Amino acid sequence: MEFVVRIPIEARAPGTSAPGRPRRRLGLVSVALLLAVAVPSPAAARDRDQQPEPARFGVLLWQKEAEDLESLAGLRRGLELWRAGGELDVRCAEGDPAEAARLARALRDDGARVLFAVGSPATQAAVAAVPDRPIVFTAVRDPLGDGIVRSLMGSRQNVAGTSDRVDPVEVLALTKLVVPTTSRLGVLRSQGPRSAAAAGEVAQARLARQRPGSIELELVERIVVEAPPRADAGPERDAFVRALESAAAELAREGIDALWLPDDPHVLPHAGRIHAALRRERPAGSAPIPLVASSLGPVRAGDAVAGLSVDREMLAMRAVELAREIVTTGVDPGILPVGGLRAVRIVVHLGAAHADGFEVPLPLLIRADAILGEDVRDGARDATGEDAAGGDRGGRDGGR
Amino acid sequence: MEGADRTTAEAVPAGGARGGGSLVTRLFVVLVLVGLATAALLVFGFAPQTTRTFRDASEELIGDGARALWTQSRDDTDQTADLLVGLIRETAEARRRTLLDLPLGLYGGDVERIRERILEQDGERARQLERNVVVLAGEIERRAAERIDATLVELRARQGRLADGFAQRLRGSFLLVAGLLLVATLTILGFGLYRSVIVPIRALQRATRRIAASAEDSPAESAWPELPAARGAGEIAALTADFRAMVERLRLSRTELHRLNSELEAEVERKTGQLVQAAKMASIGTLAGGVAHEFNNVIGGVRGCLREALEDTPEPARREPLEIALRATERARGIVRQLLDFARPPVERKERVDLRALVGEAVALAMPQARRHGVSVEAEAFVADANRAVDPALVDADPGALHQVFLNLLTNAIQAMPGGGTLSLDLVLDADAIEVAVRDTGVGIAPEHLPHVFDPFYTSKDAGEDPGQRGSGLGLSVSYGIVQVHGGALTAESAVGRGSTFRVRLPRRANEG
Repeated sequence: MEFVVRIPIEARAPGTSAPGRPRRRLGLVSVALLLAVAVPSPAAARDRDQQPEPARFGVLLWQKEAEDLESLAGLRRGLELWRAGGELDVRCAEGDPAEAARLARALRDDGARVLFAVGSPATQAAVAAVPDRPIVFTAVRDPLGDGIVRSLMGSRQNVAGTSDRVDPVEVLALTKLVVPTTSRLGVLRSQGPRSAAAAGEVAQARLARQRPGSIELELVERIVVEAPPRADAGPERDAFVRALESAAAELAREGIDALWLPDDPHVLPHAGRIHAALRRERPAGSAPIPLVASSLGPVRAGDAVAGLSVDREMLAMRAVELAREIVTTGVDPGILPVGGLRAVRIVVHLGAAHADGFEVPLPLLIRADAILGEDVRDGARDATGEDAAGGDRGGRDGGR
Repeated sequence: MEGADRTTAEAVPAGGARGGGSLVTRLFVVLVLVGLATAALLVFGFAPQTTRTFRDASEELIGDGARALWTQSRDDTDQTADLLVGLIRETAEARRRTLLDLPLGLYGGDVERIRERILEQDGERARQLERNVVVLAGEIERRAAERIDATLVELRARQGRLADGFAQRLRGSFLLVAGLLLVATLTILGFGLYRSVIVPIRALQRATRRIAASAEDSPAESAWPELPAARGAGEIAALTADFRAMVERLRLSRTELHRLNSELEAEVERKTGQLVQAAKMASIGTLAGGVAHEFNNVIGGVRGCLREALEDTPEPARREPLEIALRATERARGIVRQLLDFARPPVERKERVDLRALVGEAVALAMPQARRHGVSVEAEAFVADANRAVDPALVDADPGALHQVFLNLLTNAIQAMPGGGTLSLDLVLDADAIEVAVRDTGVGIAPEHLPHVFDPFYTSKDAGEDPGQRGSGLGLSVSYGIVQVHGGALTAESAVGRGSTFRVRLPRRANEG
């Protein structure tokens, strides 16, 4: 079933304050968006009357995950700040690449001046299907590795956008925050078709360690060469998971202080098994080995103690800024460098740490942008501020 | 017997305890004293020391706990300060990064909206920090609680170790005190037992050995060793007293035995003498009897011849020598009759005889002779008095023979007092014997003659005396034999110049009345 939402873009008057930010209340955001579609505001109707040719912006979603909706909210808010007016035509491919390509062409055919693509699969489909319309992507972890751009300094085609890539230096810093005395950091990734981002992260981390003043850490890397499974079940998957567990156990026996899971979509779904292997195989009497991830999935699942992410809403607003530049100045999208955010979000799962007997350093709690798995003293409210009953708190593959 | 009874009564007093109390009582008193000393030691010595030790240990424990908590509080304060500094730095850095990430191009240079956005971000950041601080406070509280719990656990463990050590020291001290008290008690008890039991028993043992040795060596009463004094515990003192009483009774028994032995020896010696005398007299009597029989026949022939010669001789001048010769034969026949009496005592037939009457008749016959010699006779026991009731002195005897005995003794006594004197007769009635004592105040018999006075033909009368007065030396011998034939005894005592006493002791006839 095709997911189509047309959202009138509201140009807020100066001095009007934005409503309470629903960044972390993703469930409420979804409901609000749907309500906004169903009931067009009077101001939007007034703008349509003043602008005979309203601009149309298309949004192609790969799935309706919370993070995708967060990006969608950022796009909407950015367009409101831009005062672009017109409509935001949102369509979701439901994880189907062909549908994504079709929807991308449909958005172009419906007159979208700029096509926003959220996430790497949607962007790849849009780039392949629509070569003649500016495409601005957001929340693409590795646009270069995914073949979306030819260079981070410019795509040299009709594509520009922002990446949610996290600087590996930040991962190393996070590791130091999690285990201040760490000297051996284990790394576990696979060698598959979608593991380029993870490999890139590790390579950049190695390079970062060579920079003067960088964090001194020994990276102990294990690469599972077993072919990644093509399905969620079956013998291939079991063999792959056993290989991951064996590699994790080997790392544990080698005396690593923490294990880093890069953004490997083959590995991250099995963070729970890896976590169990670490707990099982660590030498008797030694300290618990915390799991650190470059994404939030393992953290939300309660497997990783800490993980990193970026503000997807802000990242989407930065993508709107690129679109504005393309529309208003007519700049070629191919020369715009891939954008990103300096600020990273640290999410800590206190419950996971407590379950492992791991004592989270207090500076990490100060630094955290979200703390999961811990009831605060004055109620059962989740310390993240998010609705305890809403949102997807874990078990999601890839954390994307 | 009275002395023995008295000693026994002293040896076993009522309650069996004497002097310083029974051994059980003494031991009880000693144990009570030791218990009181122990209690005093515990109350006034051990308990205060224990309290001080416990208080010092508790103060040390509390001090360590306070220092640990103070150190923890200081560390928490330092950590909180570091956290606050880090919080400020992180806030500034996060704000800087957030500002740099702002899509300023979308604001179109609208400073107001940019300011509004910044304030919005600051607010979000502030709310996030507030939430973080809440979590942080909870975490700090939890960790502080864990550290406090760990500290308390450590303190409890230390307290447990201190308590264990204290209890161990307490046990050690108690064992030491108990051991010392036990040693002291045993020493006291041992010394007390040594003084109360061992020493008196050893003294008794030494005394027993000395008594045994002295009794064997010398039975004399003066040779008995000094007995130990009754001292020590009640039982031991009683035992010593009993031992003393027993030894006293033994000493008395031995003395009596010694006396009886002496008497027995004397009696044996006397009986032996009597046997010797009897044997001697029997042999002499046999000889004398044979000689007297033959001689009596000769004398009979001579008397017949002399009577015929007298019948044939009418002239007085010639008859006088014949008559002298006839009287001589008469005398010779008397001597021969005495010899025959000596050889075969003239006991014809025994009958009941009252010695009072028999002796009284003999005295009456001797009175004329006594008066001639100026001898006074005292024989009240043998004088018949109708107004006086007396026990009869009955014996089974030949009255003629006994009469001869007493007449002979009276005659000898009168003859022993030629210058006068006193002849006294006494009668002693025993349960089974009757003794008649004949005493004179005459010249007495020399000690060398006394053992031979009953020998035949032995006489103390001077040979130059009147032949009619000189004895044949057979009177006492015959009397001796007559008394002996009656189962009695004739004994003599004498002192030169003071007189002699002859005692006739005869078996008493049972009183028929």
